[in-house]
Amino acid sequence: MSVADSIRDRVGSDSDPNDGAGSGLKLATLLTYLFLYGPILVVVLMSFDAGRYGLRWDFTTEWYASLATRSDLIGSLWLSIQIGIVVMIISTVLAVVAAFGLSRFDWPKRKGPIATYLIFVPLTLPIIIYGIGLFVFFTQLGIGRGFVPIVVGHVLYTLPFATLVVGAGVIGLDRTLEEAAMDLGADPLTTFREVTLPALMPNIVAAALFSFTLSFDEFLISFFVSGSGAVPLPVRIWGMVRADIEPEVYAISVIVLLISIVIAAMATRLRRF
Amino acid sequence: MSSQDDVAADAVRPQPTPETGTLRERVLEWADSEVFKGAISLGPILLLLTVFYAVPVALLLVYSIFVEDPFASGLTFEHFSRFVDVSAITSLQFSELSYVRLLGRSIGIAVIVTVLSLVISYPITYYLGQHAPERWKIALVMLVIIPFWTSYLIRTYAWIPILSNNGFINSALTTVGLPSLPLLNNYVGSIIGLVYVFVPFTILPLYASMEGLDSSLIEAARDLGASRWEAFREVVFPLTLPGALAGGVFVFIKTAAAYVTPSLLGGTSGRMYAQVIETQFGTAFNWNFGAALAVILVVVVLGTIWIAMRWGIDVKGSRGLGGGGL
Repeated sequence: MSVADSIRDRVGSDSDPNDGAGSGLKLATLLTYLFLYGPILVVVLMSFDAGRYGLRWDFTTEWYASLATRSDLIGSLWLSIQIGIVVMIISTVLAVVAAFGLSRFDWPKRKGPIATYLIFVPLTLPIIIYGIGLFVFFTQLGIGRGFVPIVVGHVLYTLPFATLVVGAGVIGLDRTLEEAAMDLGADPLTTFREVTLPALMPNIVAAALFSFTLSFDEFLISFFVSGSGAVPLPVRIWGMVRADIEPEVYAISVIVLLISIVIAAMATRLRRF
Repeated sequence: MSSQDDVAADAVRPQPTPETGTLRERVLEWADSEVFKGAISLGPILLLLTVFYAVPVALLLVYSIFVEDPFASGLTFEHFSRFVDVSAITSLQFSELSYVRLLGRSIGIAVIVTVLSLVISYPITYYLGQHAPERWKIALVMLVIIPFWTSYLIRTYAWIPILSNNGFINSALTTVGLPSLPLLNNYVGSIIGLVYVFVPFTILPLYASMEGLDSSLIEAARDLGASRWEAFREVVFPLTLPGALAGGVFVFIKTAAAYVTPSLLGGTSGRMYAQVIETQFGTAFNWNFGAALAVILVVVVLGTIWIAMRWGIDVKGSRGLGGGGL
């Protein structure tokens, strides 16, 4: 260590904004980002690779071209988008109602925390338990597997996340705006439509986007409650990677990753930290 | 809400005066009451949660205590005793306790994965929370969050071409003349995949703690002569441990119940408990035994949360951070 360094060390961070961020720390951070994105990069690379495995890499777009002929994959992608949209709408509406219910009303003591806890239980128990339970439940009802059980499972799975995102907005809302609207003669409904809802819009849109992407990528619940007639994309991908991996899997995966990343990036920007 | 707030709210709220109000007024007043509004806004959701969440999960509990079809066959404890296998214990043949051993292995893997996740999380969150340049910070944090919201199924199977015998790592090793390593279809594969999928659960709460840490404390330690490592060990680590543990509890319970990652990367030696639950429903068609195994897993998960809360770990601190959960 040079004299200058040791002096800088003694003086502290005022003279050196990077004090403490040693090169070891920066390297560890860089490696962690590599760890987080390496496998995603591998999927992208493999989707453009003519060979299989190994370090040799020959560029090709034939897997993307052959996707067009894979009606099973296209059908599953379309089904997953449909499920995602239905789940998004139901989940977001319920989340707005739940968020207001949880944060706006003076609950009698103890009941408030219980209601909060009930809504967040689905975050705590393993998803596989819920998937199996739902499978047994719908079999007992005689409904079996299919579109409706998947939507029900996904709504219950996405609702806690959506409620949290909307709830953060409700708590952060400036109530004086609503009071001002009421003082100026607006009835509660008009106030809600003209003042509350626009102020909450970023959170509501973020909740909708999160609900869609969670449903779109959800595998375990779908795995247990989807039948052969309606196979969502993650279940289709599962079947393909359990056997010998076909190269088309990488291509469709890149499309799925792109959809999720774009939606997650939009939602994260909208959400107030 | 504190009790003082309640008293204040009660004082402000107009008290109903039933003897003077007409029926219409009373109904209107009741409709305006907080309890009614709360019931209207939360009632449907609680009903939904009960019918479509609590009942399905409770159904597994019901199945686990009947011989076959619930309420059509006798009550029994046989499914749980099959898990424990009393005969193997009495004859001291502990190697026969396959289900118990599998659960034990899952918990062991969960401990390893939790520790590794915490070790990986500390440097990056310390950097992001304390040292990252302001204008890059939001972008860098977003880069951590985004993989969290992408398909864990895809991110898991992506390790197959990396870890397999002729995959990236082993090809690189053999190219430079080193022997190849068995990384896939064993517990190593399970552990790598699980750490990868679950590390955001420790990174995000730990980042929140790191960001909230007053940097002048670190400066003070440094001014008093502590080295970087000492400042970390004596100041940063103890103050951020609660955030780390909150995330760690989540990684633990999610790993203990993992199904996808061990199925794709774990092979036989990486086989985990949730896989035998699925087998009972998928191929063995023994729903009652499968339900009993599921109930045991729920007990392990809830027990972990209970112990963690007794130790003062703020489990709820990380509840909202779940992206594609397994």
